[in-house]
Amino acid sequence: MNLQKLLRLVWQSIRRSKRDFLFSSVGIIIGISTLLFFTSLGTGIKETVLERVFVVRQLEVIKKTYDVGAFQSEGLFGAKKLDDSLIEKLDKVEGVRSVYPKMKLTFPTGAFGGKQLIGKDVRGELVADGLPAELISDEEVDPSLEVVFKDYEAISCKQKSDCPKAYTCGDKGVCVGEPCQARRGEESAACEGAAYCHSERKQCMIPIPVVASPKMLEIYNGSIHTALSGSSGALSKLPKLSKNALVGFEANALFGRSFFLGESAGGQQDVRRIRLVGFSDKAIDLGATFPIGYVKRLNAIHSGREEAGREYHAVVVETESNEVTAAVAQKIEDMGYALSDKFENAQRASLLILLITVIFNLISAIILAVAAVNIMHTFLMLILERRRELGLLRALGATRAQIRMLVLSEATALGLIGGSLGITVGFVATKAVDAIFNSQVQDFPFKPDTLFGFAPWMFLMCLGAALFFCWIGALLPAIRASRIDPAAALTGR
Amino acid sequence: MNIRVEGLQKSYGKGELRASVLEDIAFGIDPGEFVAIMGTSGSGKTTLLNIMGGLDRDYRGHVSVGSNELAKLDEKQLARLRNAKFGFVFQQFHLLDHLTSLENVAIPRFFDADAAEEQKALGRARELLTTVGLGEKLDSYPSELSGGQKQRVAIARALFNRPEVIFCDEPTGSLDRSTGLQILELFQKLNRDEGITLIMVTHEEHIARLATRIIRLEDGVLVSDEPNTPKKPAATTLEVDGALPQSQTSEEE
Repeated sequence: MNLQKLLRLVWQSIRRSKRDFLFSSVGIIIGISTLLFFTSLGTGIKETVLERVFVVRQLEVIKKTYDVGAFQSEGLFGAKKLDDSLIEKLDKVEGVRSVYPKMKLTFPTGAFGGKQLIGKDVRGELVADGLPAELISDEEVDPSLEVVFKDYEAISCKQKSDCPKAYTCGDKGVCVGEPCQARRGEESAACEGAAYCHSERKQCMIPIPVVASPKMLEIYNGSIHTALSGSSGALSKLPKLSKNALVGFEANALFGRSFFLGESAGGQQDVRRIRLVGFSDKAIDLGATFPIGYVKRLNAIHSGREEAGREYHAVVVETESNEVTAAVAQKIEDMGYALSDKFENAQRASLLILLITVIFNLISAIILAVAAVNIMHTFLMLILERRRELGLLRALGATRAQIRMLVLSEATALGLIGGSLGITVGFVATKAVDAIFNSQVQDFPFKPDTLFGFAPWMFLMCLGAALFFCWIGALLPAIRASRIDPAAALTGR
Repeated sequence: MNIRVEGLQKSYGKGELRASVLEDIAFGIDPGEFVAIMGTSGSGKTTLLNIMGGLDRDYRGHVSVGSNELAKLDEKQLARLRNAKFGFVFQQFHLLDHLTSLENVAIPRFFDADAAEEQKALGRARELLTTVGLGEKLDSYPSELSGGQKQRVAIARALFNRPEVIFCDEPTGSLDRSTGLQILELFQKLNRDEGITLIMVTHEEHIARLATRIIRLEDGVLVSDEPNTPKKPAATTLEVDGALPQSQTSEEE
């Protein structure tokens, strides 16, 4: 019997007992809809937690330390250094997609500013680190901005036209700022474009570009703003902030001196303007991230140690996928380095989400198993009712295998229709829950736009599960149907 | 194709509860014959018909149809034989209620590996229904047909794959007298004009008289196997010693 004939025969059979067919499909619809619902819920939560809160594909390599009483020690001979040679080695490890260094400012730094945002200047500590500029993408920093995330003090040149406005080509083949005269806070006509006149150096300088982490914005909008809105005073009027509103914001960094930590070991101090040019997940969680060249130079000048500009405090390793992360982590530890807590936290979060998803999927599987029993019961009843019909089909030339195929094909139709309806119901349920979540749940840090994550494999899995449980339910009835004695069935014995 | 039965035995049950249904049956049927198998209820005539038609495989002895010894065929081969060479007509018609007349007639196409395309198959079904006088009932469901019409549909279905043998089990048993007569006339026509071998089970003498040969069974034993040579010429209408024949069920057209 070819496929076309089989389909016609199946359709004729379904026509015969539409009500029983629909009744059998209810269990499948419920089971498949819950399967899709919980699988997509687990995926959605995992994506939010592991891509934004704990980024599981990022490993932060740090120096190995040992707990000695209440302190941490790098051991008698010191820990292995994190430098350019390590970056080269890590890049060659299988499963690693990219490696980039991070260097923190290793001396006291303060910041002041904010008048343009909140109406008055405020002072505080500045925690900052540095990243290679090429890591920040055009999506994170708009390339059309006047100041982008690059090291403006390390631009090679042969002539003035190779340099930005207010800069000229210096003796060492590097762009340097034009000379200028202005008092602090005043502008100079000599400094065109984005440059300002550094009053002590008497030189035009482009503000140091910085990027911030979206987490800071999330925490402000989700928690701090909510708390401030309930306070008295001017701060209660602060609006929620958006990325677009903050890009271009400028403040002053006081390198070499902070309000809480005092002066740096190097003794020198310098006030430099900094400008926020964008947001990036690679930026330090609470603070500002500079192009790493600035951090290297500032560390060498202000920390009092020349090597402070060559040692990294961490190296970030991005793996190709979540699945290889554990293996890469092991290799890094075998090389004598440690990983920061972030990875372990991500692993724990991942495991917890996985366990919860598995539990809910087990519930769905139970529902589907019950549906399969229901299908078996219904099909057995139908086989009994159709005994005469099946005996007739045998008399007209159907083989046992064809009878089995007919019953299983009816189950396949049930699985396809029930599975498709189940997917539709499940999908609609996720949209309904999202709508309720977005309208009823207040904002919180990292509040996702949707609780659910979908992928094509989920729909295939749901359809496959529907077919599987329908076949399981119809198998025994199919075998029974094929064993009907045609003579007995036709004579009513 | 000819049919040969030798040493056929069938029984049900085991040990003390064993009951013999057919005992040492032997006969042959040549192509084109119209054979009536007669006997009272429980004489084993339907069982014999089912065995010859390949519907019942639980027996001892030899039954061959053409060059095929039925016991030596596997299940697929037997199914193919039934589809290609046999037709069946039953007392209860056995039409599928959810299919139209046209669809009922064309059911055998599903199991015919060499079946024509769908449209050709339906064309054949249409032609057969017209032949049996139901050209205007193609889209009617069995619930919309009379008993005689249902049996005509069943006959058309039996003819779908151009069988060489048609097995009929009390084909007029559920019909009234005049309708039954029409059906029997149709069978006679098929046997005479198409040369189809007809094997008909009946318990009624007046129906058996329409056949060219009568095999009688009594308690599973073949008691006679004679050409039908009635005292009067072969009947074309039903007359039984002045008394009207009785149907098992009667049906108003």
